[in-house]
Amino acid sequence: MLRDMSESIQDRVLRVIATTKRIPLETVTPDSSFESLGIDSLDRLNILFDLESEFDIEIDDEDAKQVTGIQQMIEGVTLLVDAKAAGVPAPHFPGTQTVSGEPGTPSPVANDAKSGPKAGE
Amino acid sequence: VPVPHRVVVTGVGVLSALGLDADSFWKALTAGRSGIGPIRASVNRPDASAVRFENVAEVHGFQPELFLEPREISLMDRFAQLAVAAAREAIDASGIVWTEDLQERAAVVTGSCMGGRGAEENGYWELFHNHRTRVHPLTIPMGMSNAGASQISMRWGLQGLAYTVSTACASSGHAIGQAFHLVRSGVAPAAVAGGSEAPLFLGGLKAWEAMRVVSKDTCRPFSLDRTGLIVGEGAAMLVLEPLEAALARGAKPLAEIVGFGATADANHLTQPTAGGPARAMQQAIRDAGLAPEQIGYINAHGTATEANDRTESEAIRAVFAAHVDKLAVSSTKSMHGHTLGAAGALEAVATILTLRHGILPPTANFNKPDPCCELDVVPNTARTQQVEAALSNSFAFGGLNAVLAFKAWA
Repeated sequence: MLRDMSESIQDRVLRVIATTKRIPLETVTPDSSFESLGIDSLDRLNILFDLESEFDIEIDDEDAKQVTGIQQMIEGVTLLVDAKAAGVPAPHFPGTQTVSGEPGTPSPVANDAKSGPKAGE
Repeated sequence: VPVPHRVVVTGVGVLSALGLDADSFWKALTAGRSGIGPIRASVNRPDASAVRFENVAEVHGFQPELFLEPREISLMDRFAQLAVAAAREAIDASGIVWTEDLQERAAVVTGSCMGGRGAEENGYWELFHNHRTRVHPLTIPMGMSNAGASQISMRWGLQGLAYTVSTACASSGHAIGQAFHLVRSGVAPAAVAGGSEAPLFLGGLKAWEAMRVVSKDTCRPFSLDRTGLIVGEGAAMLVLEPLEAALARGAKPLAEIVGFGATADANHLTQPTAGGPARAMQQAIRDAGLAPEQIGYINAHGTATEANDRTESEAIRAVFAAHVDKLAVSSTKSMHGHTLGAAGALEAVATILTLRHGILPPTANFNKPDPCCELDVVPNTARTQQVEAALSNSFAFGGLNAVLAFKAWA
């Protein structure tokens, strides 16, 4: 029912990973490790970039550094998509730590970044 | 192995976030004062798009009109203007007299990562944003990465081997190393060598932002709480001469340049290995005819990315073994930022002045030791200590490594 209309966030994340990494979609599951799919630091950078475009979200640099698995990517993207829909500040990915060492709370630095530093002033 | 010429540095010039000459550069380095701050002047289209980071290392107060004709300014991207300004200071300070014979064979070797892409961006902006159908007629010669070398060669009439090396963040390390070998071998009777970079234009900043390696805070090399690099602009140039020529004209060498080592990791586009940098350091030490125990200070590449700092620490520990405990290692990028293709030249000058003055510049902004960077990083405060010889490390994306070795001139 409504299958083509309701591609889940998980399905979209897996599709972006497969497309960006140029590997068959059926090889990418939430349980796949980056290592098993041959995803290195540059692939991760590309995938996060394409996820930002796919969902029109902005993924924090620190979260990007600390994301270690596909399940975490799906959960992080889901949080960001939900926050955007609710119009609340963007949360961090689950399981990541901010610079100040507090898990899961946006750091002041990240808040400043979200409000848009003014280049050129 | 005897070499035809010993090579000395007789003049240096620097423009950086720390000031407009080598003297202010050195004063800031030894005071542990950082020139990193919110971007002000260089990005000329602030309204176009926000950049996710605010802090850069910007050259403030640069007035090219003080030494360039208005017409010349309009023919040069900022990176070339900075190159000429640094060369001017270095040449004046060296006291070298450009005789016809010297002019005919003197070399100019510059390094730049991005060259005049700021000028290119201005042209493309007209096309893509303002929907014009034309770009500035000199977009090509202003954009070319050798513009700095060409401008220096034209200004002082230097007609020998002149070219530009572009090896990303190791560009001017390679440039100075190559110029050193040209003078040592007798191919060139003198050389002006160094690098310049002006990457603070919108497209350049957005490209660095997308790499996710730029700090939203400041540059904290080797510190556990580091958050990435700080992009900077600047230029530094050196005058290299054979020792006997320098002494014959009564010049006082600032330091002797004694070794150059360069290797490729042949591994990964952005993830460094420890092996490539370690081999480059070993080669530089061997090329210098030194023993590792003679090295007392390393001006590290020290970008304040986790990948660099940990790999560089591992490489240093591998090369120096037990001697590492007597070795001081600092990253002056904590103060002048990462000036990309100019970094090797700025840091070569920092290394030369370290040897000349017997003061080790600190790693500024240092908070917490990183157990994976077990080195004496001279945290936050300069140290009075005369060392015999020193290395300057430069490592580039693409796995290209350049290491220069200098000796104090007593």
